[in-house]
Order: sequence, then structure tokens, then C-alpha cells
Amino acid sequence: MSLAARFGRMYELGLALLINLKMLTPFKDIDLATPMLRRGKLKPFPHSSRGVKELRQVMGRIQKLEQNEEV
Amino acid sequence: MRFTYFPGCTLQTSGYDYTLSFKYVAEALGIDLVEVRDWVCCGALSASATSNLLSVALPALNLSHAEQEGFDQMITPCPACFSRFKATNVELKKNSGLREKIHQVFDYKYHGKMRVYHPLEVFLEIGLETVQEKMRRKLSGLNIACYYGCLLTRPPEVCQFDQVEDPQSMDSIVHALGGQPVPWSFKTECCGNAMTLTRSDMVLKLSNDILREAKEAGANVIAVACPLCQANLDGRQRQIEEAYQIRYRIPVLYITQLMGLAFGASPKEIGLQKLLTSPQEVLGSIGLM
Repeated sequence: MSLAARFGRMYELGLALLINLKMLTPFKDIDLATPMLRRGKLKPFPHSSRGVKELRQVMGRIQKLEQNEEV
Repeated sequence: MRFTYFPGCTLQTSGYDYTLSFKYVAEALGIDLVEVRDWVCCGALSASATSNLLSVALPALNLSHAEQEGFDQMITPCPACFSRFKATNVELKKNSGLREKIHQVFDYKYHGKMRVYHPLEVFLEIGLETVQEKMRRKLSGLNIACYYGCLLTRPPEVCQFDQVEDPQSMDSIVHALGGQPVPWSFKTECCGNAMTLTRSDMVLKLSNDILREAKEAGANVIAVACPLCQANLDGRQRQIEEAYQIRYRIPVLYITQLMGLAFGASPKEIGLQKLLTSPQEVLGSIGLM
């Protein structure tokens, strides 16, 4: 959810890159990414939502609420 | 008919052809769409792994935005979002403790009253006769396997969409537009999308099963209503062919692209150029492209 918290929306290319790096397979699905980028089905850069500020506020409140419940 | 419209993250990127074709069909059928103000990710694919409360809060946040704008009905083409919104409404209505927590983290008190629809439900509500009235050319020559995926109908008590194991919504639209829906048993099998980035080997296996069954049922086109299923069946088709040493080359179109074609849209208007498995051969052979 870290990308959603940062941009308010999912950043598909960023998510794929992150997971591939974590799994030590950086070039996995490169054959799929290339035609998708060419057709505009993958965006090279993330798009931010104007609702991201409120989203972060809600996520912060949830974190606090859950921490209090654990105590 | 006026709806607040939740596109979801995928329809902005890999499912943009779904956006183009859905908006084309909506306009043709007189469906007025107003995008949800400042919408954010509904967390359908990953929020529940982080926190149960977050998995309800994210859909509820979007639903509350829509309600504050004065809407009482929402339409969302992505079955993953659709399913999360419906589940959130059910949970908020029946679980007062959860509702209380959501009210603590929001400035607005949402009670789970927004009615949420998938476009297929709305198309059928408008009626097959109206759909037929908009038809400029028939889909004759297309044997279409309608693939609903695993999220539209399940869990049935939440989604309340069509028949759980053998849904007919897309089949009836295809039939009304002159296409031939093929009977097959993989309509609601899972394509494995939740694991598309982590266990693509499993996704290739599950998607291969679906493509094979569609082909064996005699389909020359697969119709889908989910951007996640489309990405696997269309986008990964070359990988599947390579892994299983088989040749399918079966185009996977959104139901809205098929409807758009029948309504007279140009290929570009409904994003056919974005498909990774070209529909040129199949659609060209019957004069649709």
C-alpha cells in the first residue's frame, strides 16, 4: 500500500519494478512491459490523486487506532 | 440515468481501452457519468493484507465522497473495486463496531447506503431492446466465450450479481447483438491475477486453462468485463503460448469494445489498437475492422 499512500492511486509500473527487485528478478516480464508501454497501457510516471492528503490522514488515524488497540 | 463513476486505478492505465469503450457505450445508451471527486485507490488488491480496517476504510472513503456530492448510485467497471465496494456496504450495515471505527477515522459519517452497480447490470436494466436499437452492425461470425472471472459473482451474498456459477449477462448482450455466445464451463474460473507479479508461473497455468477451454468450446473471441482478467488473457497470451508450446492467437475484448463495434464505433474510439493480441484477423475476416 506504500505506493497508494504516496500517490493516492496504484502506480502499476512502479509496483512491478518494486516486486521484481525484491524477488531478485529485475527483468521478469520485460517482454510484456515493452509492448504495454508502447501502447500506453503502462504509464512511465505515476499519476497523483488530489485526494492523497485525505488518504494519508485516514491511514495515519487507522494506524494510531490499531496501535492503541494493541496496547 | 445518472451515476457517480468510480474508474479505479487499472482503468487509468492498463485498462484504458476499457475506459474508452465503456464511456463510448455509456454515452450511446444515455448513461450520464460523473467521476467521484478526488477518488483514491480502493485497496482491492492489497489493503486487506495490511489491515482489515484499512480494507473497509478505503472503499468507504470513496463512497462517502460520492454521497457528499449528492449521489445514491455508483457505477464501477472493475470487478475488484465493485466487489470491495459491495463488501464494504454489507460490513458497515451489519457490524456496528466496525462502523463506529470508520466514523472515528473519517470526518464524514458514511452508513453503507450507496447502491453500487457493475455496467453489465445497468446495460441489462436499460434493456436488450434498447441495446439492439443502437446496433449499426451485427457481430455475426463471432463465436464468443463470455468470461466473467471470479470476482463479479462471488461471494454471491455480497455481489448479488447474476447466477453464481453460470452467469448470463454478457451472453445475453452478445446474443442480442448478433454474436454467438458459446457454452463453456470456465466462465467464472480464476485467472490468478492476485499473483500476477509474484507467481506468474501459476497465472500462466490458470490462464492457459481458460484459453484452452475457450478454444475447445469453439470460440474465436473471448469477451471479458474485468481489466485484470483482460491483462492476463490478452497480455500474457504470448508467454502462455511459449510456455505451453501452443498457438491460440485468440483476441480478448472487453464486452464494451464488442458493444462499441456493434454500435458503429471506429477501432480507435474503443481502443482496439491497445490490445496485445491483435483482433485484426478475426474481426477483419467478417468486416468489423
